[in-house]
Amino acid sequence: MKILGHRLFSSKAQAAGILLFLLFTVTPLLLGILYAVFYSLGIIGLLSEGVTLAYWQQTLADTELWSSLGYTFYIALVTIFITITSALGLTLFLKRPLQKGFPGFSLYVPLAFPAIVVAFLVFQLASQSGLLSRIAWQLGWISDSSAFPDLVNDPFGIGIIAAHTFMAVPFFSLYFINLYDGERIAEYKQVAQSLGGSRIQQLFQIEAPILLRRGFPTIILYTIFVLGSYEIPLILGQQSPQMMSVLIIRKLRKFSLDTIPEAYVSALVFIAVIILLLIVIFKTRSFSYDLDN
Amino acid sequence: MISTTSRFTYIARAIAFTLLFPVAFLLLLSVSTGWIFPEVLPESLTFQRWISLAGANNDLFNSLLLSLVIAFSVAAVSTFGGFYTSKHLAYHHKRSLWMRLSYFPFVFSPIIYAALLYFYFIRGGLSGNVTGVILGQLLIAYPYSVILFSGFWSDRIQNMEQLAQTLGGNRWQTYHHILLPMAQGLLLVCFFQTFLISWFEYGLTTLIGVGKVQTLTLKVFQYITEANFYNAAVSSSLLVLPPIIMLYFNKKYLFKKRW
Repeated sequence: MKILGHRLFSSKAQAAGILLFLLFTVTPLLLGILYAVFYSLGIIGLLSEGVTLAYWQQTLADTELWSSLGYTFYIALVTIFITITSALGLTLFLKRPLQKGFPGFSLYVPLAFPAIVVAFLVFQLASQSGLLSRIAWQLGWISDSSAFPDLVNDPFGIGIIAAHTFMAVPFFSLYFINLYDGERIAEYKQVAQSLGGSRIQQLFQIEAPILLRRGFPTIILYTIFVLGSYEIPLILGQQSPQMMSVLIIRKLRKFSLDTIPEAYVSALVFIAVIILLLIVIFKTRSFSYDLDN
Repeated sequence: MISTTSRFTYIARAIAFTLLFPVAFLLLLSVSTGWIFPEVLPESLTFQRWISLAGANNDLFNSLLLSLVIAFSVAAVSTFGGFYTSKHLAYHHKRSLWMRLSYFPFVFSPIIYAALLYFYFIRGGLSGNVTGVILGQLLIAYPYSVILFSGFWSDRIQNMEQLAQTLGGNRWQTYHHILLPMAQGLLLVCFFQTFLISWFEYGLTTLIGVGKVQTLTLKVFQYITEANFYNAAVSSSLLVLPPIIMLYFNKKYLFKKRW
């Protein structure tokens, strides 16, 4: 098979491999987006009455969508800020003790926790009848469980951020520790030291910038992972505003059929925002996972 | 006076205790009874919930088996499918495009991806059954596997493959004697990683499975909504312990990008 003078496949085996990829990755993506677009335009669906922009106008005018989008970005950015700051601190100051023995093993343990279990744990520890509240009662700091501050299902998303941070800090600490050794940062640091660079200069002009620069694609991918998280905000989030995944699924599963097109509009807006973000961020930066790099 | 080095060691140990505390807390909660506010420790302990797991037709044990079957199926198919596909994508002139496309299922988040595809699953008779859930999870695990193997293929591997074929080896022999043994370590990592993608999955499973395919993650959520926290702790422990055992054998199985 030839397209514009280029052979599309060099062998039957390659054709089979690429067709498998098209079948299991590209086709579902296209079919899913097409279905959402058609549904949101009233072309298909149980309430379909022909092409209409009404659902788009209705959803885009709804403040719930924008407050949820803003809330989702707030949660993701605060989580990533706390995570990266803590992981950098652990890597730069505690790298050696965290690489051996019991602490070395413990850093891997949170990676064995699914999001739903982390949400359950945070609920058990930080809710008004949770362990922290009980300790506060035993210490005489509170007289009743309701006197304990709302740390879950709260307006600031403290529980959601805590759950994500518990999962992300060990991951990024391990990632930065591996990068530190792989990028031979210790050697650069030694050169800076012999040239008279202070400890502060080594930290802020060599170690942290190299780690952040090399880790940039992973930081962005993890931010997107937090943006799309579902189980944690479902258990630890509040009724309004909700994170985007929770909002979309709630609209999709409501008994009223009216909200289904709104769910698809919200999903398409969310996907478009993330894709735009990725395009802008990676326009000038290479994607380090590509084979070309 | 404590030196800076030993102070850092103490801080590292304190962090280690903080990270391991949730495991101990889960296990304690799973064997607790009468642990009500404001008690900091449970009134008494019972192993009945764990013992009853071995009993006939135990709901939680059935969920454990179901989760294992789904996770092993997803891991096996996506590992070998991803290995085969990534080879052909890596040597294709449009490889950059394929690699970018393979990231999209992660960009969408599994639950939103499932929401977009839900209609097709219903039309295909794949909603509310195990086959549909396996297929749905494969749509996430398979591109992950393709990404993971993309770094394996290089000019060196291609030269060895060509050498084997020049010496008379057929395609099957090349896979059997050259490619699979060389990729053995990565295949194992990929198998465990895709196993965990499936093992940890909740959103897509609940949507495609319509709540009927009761994996362990669904059980945890069910027990939380029923306020049955002791059983939620047992199911959570069942979810957490296998990856920790894997961690004991080899840390690298757990530490890889999983989105």
